[in-house]
Amino acid sequence: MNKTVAVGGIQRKRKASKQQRRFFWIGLAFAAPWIIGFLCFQLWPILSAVYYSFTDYNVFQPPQWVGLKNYTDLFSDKLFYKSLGNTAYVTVIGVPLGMIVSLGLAVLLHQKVRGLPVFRTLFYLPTVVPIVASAMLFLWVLNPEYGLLNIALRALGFEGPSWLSDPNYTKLSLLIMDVWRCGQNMIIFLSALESVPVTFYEAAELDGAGPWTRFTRITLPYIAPTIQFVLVMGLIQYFQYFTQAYVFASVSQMQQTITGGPQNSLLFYSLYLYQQGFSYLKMGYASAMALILFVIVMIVTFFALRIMEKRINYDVE
Amino acid sequence: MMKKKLAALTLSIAMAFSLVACGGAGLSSAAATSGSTAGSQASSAEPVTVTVWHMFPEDAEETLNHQRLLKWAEEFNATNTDNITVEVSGAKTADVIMTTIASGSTPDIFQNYWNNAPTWADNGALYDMTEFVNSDTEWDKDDFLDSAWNLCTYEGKVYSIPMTVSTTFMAYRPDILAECGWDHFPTTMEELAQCIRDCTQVEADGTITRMGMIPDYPWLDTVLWPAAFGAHWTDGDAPDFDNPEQIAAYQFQRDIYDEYGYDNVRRFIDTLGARATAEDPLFTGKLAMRWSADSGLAQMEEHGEGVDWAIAPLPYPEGVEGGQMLTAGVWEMNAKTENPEATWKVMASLTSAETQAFLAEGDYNNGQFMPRASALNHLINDLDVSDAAKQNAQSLLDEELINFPVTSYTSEYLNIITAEMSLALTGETSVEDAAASVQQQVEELANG
Amino acid sequence: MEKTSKAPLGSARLRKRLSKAVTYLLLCFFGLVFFMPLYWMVTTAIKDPSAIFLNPPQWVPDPAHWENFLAIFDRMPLVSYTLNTVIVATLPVLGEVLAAPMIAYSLTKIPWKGAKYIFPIVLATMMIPWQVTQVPLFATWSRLGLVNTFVPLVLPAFFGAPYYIYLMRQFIKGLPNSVIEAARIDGAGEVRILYTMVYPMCKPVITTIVVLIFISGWNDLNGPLLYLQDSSKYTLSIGLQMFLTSARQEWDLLMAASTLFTLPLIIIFFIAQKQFIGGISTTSGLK
Repeated sequence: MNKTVAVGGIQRKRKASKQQRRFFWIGLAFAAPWIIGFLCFQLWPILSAVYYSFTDYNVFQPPQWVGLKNYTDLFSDKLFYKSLGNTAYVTVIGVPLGMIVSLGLAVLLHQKVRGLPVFRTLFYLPTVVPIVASAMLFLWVLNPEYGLLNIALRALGFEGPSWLSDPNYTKLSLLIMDVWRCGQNMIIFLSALESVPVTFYEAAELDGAGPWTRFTRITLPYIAPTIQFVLVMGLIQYFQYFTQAYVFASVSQMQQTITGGPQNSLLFYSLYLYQQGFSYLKMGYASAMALILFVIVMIVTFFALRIMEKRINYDVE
Repeated sequence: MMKKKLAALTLSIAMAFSLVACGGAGLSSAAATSGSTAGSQASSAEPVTVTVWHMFPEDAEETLNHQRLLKWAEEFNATNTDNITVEVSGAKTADVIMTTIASGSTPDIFQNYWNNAPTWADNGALYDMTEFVNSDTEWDKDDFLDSAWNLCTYEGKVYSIPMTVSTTFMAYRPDILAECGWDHFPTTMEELAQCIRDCTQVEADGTITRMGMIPDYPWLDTVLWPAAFGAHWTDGDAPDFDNPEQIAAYQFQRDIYDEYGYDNVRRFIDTLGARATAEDPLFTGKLAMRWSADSGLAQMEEHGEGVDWAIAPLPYPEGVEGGQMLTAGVWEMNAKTENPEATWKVMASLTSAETQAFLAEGDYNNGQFMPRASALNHLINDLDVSDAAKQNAQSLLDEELINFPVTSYTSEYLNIITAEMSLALTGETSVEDAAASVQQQVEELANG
Repeated sequence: MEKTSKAPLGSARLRKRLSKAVTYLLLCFFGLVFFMPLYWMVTTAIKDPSAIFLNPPQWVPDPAHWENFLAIFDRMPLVSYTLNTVIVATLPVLGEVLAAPMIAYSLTKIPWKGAKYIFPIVLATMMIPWQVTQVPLFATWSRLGLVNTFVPLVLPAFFGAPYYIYLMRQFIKGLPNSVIEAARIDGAGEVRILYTMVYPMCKPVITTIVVLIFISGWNDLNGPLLYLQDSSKYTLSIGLQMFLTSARQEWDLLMAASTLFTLPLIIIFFIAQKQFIGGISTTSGLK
């Protein structure tokens, strides 16, 4: 009796471990494309960057080991702090603002009304139009004298600022453009909203839940994984804020050198890093900057993920 | 078992791949030696391909740079007796060129910004062409403007060949000046200051409706005014920024802001239309005078028809031997080029008097001027261009031309000046303090 | 009886109508705001050069230079640029749609040890600024002899881009485990589960990914600029750039080219967006 039970247990264990092994190989096989891509094309560049950060590296010649010098230099670099501050500013405002607007628009586009295909396309337009065209349009919209924004503000009795030359407002100008180009997050939210089973809403409606209750009790929890995605990606992208500032600088100034805008108010961390690496050929210094940024983003993302993961119940049923 | 083997195989392939990648990149960066002495001696019969990369758009328009360069290459390929084939490719950026050179060997010849040369040369990316330049008598180094060579020489060595040169000119409205009591364009800086005051119109509440000139419009230039004031940036190899002439050059600009109020002037600038269009503040009469880089001349002529405007060189302060600013676009040679002799032959043809004259014909459409005296004279004597263009070419030949010093810290120096001195114009710091701050930062750079 | 039941019904109907009106109002307002860039782009394209920078702007171009659109054809080899752009925009779509869901499925629904180690690395790789990895990455491709081919622009998608892996993970993780377990007990292989169950359930997000990748491939400037060296391989984005960087700054032609450049994207988006709503019935059918 006892013997057979024991044998059965072992067999079951064997079966379980066989199943486990099967899952291991299948999991590995399914993840293999990423693993191969990572090993071939990502690991080496990343390790190189880590190594460069401890060297004096000018891109053209072999790096020279300098130990922690790049890091100690950074901590006494005024512009390092300035650029970090500028980046923190756009991140703290830009991430929540972008999320609220894109989610709001997605909800609006999820209503059952006529003409939605047209509206969806319209709302997505600013994202497909080449960024140069957008930047040009915005140079006019933000023109202090004739721009649409200040004309509207004047009608309301306010005197609008010099959006593009006053260092207190230049970052806000970029954020306004970002809000208007939020189409990508909007359609990601939209696809999440479309995945919420209609039956959930019908049940809630029968229970007499109002639209707001339905939104907070059903929609938000159900799309929480997407919210997490948009939040984390927003953090990662805003900490590396580059393209918008770069394009804006080149369209508005039409000069070859990319500067940090009026009084360095648009000198973002990645822009400064780019300047160091590509204009001054101080790739070692730039790599040290990249690593510090990596650590900062890692810590912030870790906390964001921890807070979010606790609240997300992936299996909603 | 099969699956295990398969997985092991996948893993090992992946590892091998990444190793190849690692080893490869390591090798190529190790191979990046400064080798200006290296260079294989290929016999002239062996076929050689020389790649030339430029930053102009690959436009099909025949008068534009790309087509002109293609035509030159076609001609060169057909006529050279050394079995050299030139391949021209455009639409490059400095970043692309840097990344490519850092990891491979193409291109052989490329366009660059003058201020990149010292850092690139220091780091062994550029071929030292001094010997070629001095020994190739047929090519005639002396035909180039002397000042253009200043921009192309770093620590006594020639790393760049001038491709185009650019200076600035003053554009002004004779009608507005006359209305304000000026029958001639100011001939000294003191007169200019007075003329600016005379032409500026301010309403009772401080609102500006017209300005004589805004010295840092369209941008705060780090060379223009200091050059006119006879300032220098370095003393030998050491940075020297807080000299009286530099301070005077920025104080001149600051005084205008002080007189009318920084915010008033900024607000006035906000009302100005786009430059070099029909809305150019000079054409709409919002500015009586403004300076422009001469690359803007052709476009201004296109849109300024029917407006009474003229150009003049920038005046100097009384008793000061000032100069006009000079910048240049340059061609450079890759230090790792496989066949330096052949590459030089291509470079020599690319920058020869005939080619420059040929490029000048098309290039004037882009408002670019050539660094060779012969090409400038060709423009003045033979080409059907405007008087303003001829006047500008003549001033390139006649005036004292001053360039920003070419040092290992040039690019940073330029950015530091812009950051500190624009702060000084706002009134947040004094010009002296800002200059001292520039001096201190650049000294750190130069010594560090 | 009748009276009391009718009153609340009427007010509910009223409220529904009111909310519909508000929705339309908002949609139209935002629609107008978001339509602006397109209108701006198309009108600037046909404006007289002297009218481009007028303040306040000229709303209706007068005179209208429709020939600017034709001028683009003379200035660049539009056919070869378009073909190249199509390659750079479509192949990555194929690669990502094959790779990202598979990898995300492995990270969420297959119980194996590697999953929990891989996901943080996927995230971490996005946190390194591209500026410092560009040179060694280029060196890798150069070593493999693949610079000046489309491979560096296309192949990485077949390995799965972190952004899309993460996005897919968030969606696949939310799929009911019970359904997948049930399929496994029925003897379905993982490949079958992935293609016959996970793909249909994730249709809205996969469509989104298709659109996003296509558009980003179409718009990408830095990749082609860096990896493609021959004119014969250049893409539309490089051609577009030329009107901006040319010394004359031909804004009207830039906008005309931008319009031609954007038009296919708008059409594709318009067609694809109907697919975003395709997922509901499948998902609710499973419950």
